[in-house]
This record gives sequence, structure tokens and C-alpha cells, in this order.
Amino acid sequence: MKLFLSIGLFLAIGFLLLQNHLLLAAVAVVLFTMRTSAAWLIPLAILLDGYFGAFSAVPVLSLVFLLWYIASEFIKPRLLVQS
Amino acid sequence: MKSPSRHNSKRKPVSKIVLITIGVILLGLALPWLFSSVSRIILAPIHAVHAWYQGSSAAFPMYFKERHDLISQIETLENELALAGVTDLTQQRLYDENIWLRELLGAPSETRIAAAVLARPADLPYDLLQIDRGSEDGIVLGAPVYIGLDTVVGIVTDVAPRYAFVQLFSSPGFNATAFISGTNVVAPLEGRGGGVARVRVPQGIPLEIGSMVHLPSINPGVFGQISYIENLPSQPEQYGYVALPKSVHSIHYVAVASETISVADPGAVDANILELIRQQFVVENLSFTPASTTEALASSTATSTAATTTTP
Repeated sequence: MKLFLSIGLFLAIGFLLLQNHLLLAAVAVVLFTMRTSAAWLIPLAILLDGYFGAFSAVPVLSLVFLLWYIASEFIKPRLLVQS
Repeated sequence: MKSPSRHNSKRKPVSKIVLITIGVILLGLALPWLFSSVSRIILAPIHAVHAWYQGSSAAFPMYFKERHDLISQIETLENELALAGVTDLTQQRLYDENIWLRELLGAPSETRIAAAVLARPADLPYDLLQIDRGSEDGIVLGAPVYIGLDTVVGIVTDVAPRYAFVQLFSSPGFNATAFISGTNVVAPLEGRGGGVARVRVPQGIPLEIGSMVHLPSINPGVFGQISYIENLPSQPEQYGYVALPKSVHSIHYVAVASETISVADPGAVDANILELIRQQFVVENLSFTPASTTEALASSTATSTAATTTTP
């Protein structure tokens, strides 16, 4: 169930970014990061940057997701309650 | 023996992923065409969904699209409403100022007679209105007929004791001289029938849609706005078509002026203004009382001066 939800969120993020619904995409990204890891979003960002031809200039989405991944890896251990 | 801590074991994959990502990004910057082609192939299913969402008229995408359109439309209308509120205030101020200036110039205030429309062009042969007021109610031949405050639509052409006929300015064959504001030109106006009249101006004069068309012989006499411009470069003249602000078929009540058209005499207006200016120089009801012996001389001088001033 968790896997299906994560896949659904992953596809939703791709679709929302394609539709330029950035606010909804941001919410979905946060949810996805909480459930799994932001590392999975980096390939998606690279794909979307390639799709939009951003590699001809600056691949903003890839860089943003890379920074988000680094930030989430630092933030997540502090947010999780240790049992 | 030294065992790797949990913290260190977490750091390693992070740095590895960061390094790989930076490498991929650098590769993408070096070979953008390759990344674009690969991305297009991989994202083909998502692209298909995207295209379906954009172009489909199915219920799900339409719901979101219509909602988005409605929200933007509401925002536009709210902006227009705010703007209209400001315009209303400006109009009210200008209207008050206009009334004040008219009073200052001694313009007579006119009374109007409300009349219901009994028959209109659909029932009558030409652009005529039949109203339920006649000479017994004070309707006179040649009185201008208004809808609203200052929109004049026609003139009373036949009066019976209990009804009257109004010929609309849009009736075929009707000719008048109109003033077009904005462009600020005087042009002939001719009725075309069906609630439409047109003004004729030479080529080269910039006519604009929305310009007000006034009938200077009637005061206040706005006939309407130019709603369509027919401009053929091969023709020597251009035409501005003027439609009534309200459809002829939806006019139920009109206001008829109690007097016939009175053309303002420029000489009378000038004389009135001159009289008002003269009044500004005369101070009325002046009275002087003797104050003391030291001022007796001054007061007697002032009294004699006042007597000289007030004596015509």
C-alpha cells in the first residue's frame, strides 16, 4: 500500500510540474519526502529538465531538487522521533 | 576495534548521490540534445496525460479548467467593479458640477413628462413610437424624447389629445447635424432605420468606437455611441454607425420634454455671463455708522464715496 501511494505521489509530482501547478507540486514533494526519500525525485527533475530543454541553459529543477534532497537529509533525522 | 557510527553510514550515500547528480547535470549540460530525446521518450505517457488534460472536454479536466477560468473571470470582474465605482464617483462629481455651472449661467431647468410606449417599430411601419400621453397631458409638437437622463432618441411629430407619435432619430431619411466627441468634429447624421443612424465624416479623421454622438440643437442631447466604423480606403468618406444605448424593442417608458427644442442664443448667454461678472463688483447692503470725532472726517468721506458708488 505504501509503495502504491509513493508511486502515485511520484507520478502526481511529475504531472503537476508539467501542468505548472507549483504549489500543489510542492505539497506533494513534501509528502513524498516524508514517506520515502527525496533522492527518487532527482531523476524525475532531470527528466523534466530534459523534457523542457533546460539543459541548454540552467537545469533549475534538477538543482532545486538536489538542494531539497540535501536539506531533507539534514532535516529528517531531527524531525523523526527516536523510539 | 573501531566501528563506523550510524551518522557516518548515512553521510556516505548522500554525498554519493550528490556527486552522481552533479555528474549527470554536467553531462546534461554537455549533451542537452541527448537528454531532451531521452526525456521525451521516457515522459511520453505523462505527456499523453498532459495533452489529454489540456484538450479533453471530459468531466474531470473540464471541472478544473472551468474552475480556473471562473476564478480568473471573477478577479477580472472585481477589478472592473472597483474601477466602475471610481468612474461612478467621477460621473457624479461631473454631473453635480454641470448642474452648478448651468445654474450659474442661468440655464432654465426643464420638466419632463413620463410616458409609456404603446407601440414600437415592430408594430408601426417606420421608426416610430406611440406614447400614451398627448396634448391634454402637456405634450407639444417638436418636444425631444429621452430615455434615461440625457439620451435623446427622437422628437414628437404628431400629437393627439391622448396619445402622440415620436419619430426616432434613426428613422430613414432623418437628417441632423451631430457633434462627435473624442474626434471633436461636426458631421451629418442620417437615420438608417431599425434603431441605427450613421455619421458621415471624410477620410483621414480618426473615428473611434465608443465616441459619443451629441445633437447640439437639443440640450442635453446625447444620441448614442459609435459602435461600428465602416471605412473603405477606396471611398471618399467613412461611416460611423450609432446604435441606441437601449434596443428600440425594449423601450417601455420615455420622458418627454415639456417644451420644444430651444436653440441656445449665444448672444443671450454672453449677456448673462456679463451680468453675473458685473454683479461680482458690486457689494450690496453696506451701512456705515459714525464711530468717533477723530474718524468723523474719514467716515464722512467714506459716506460720500459710498453715495457716489451706489448712485447709478
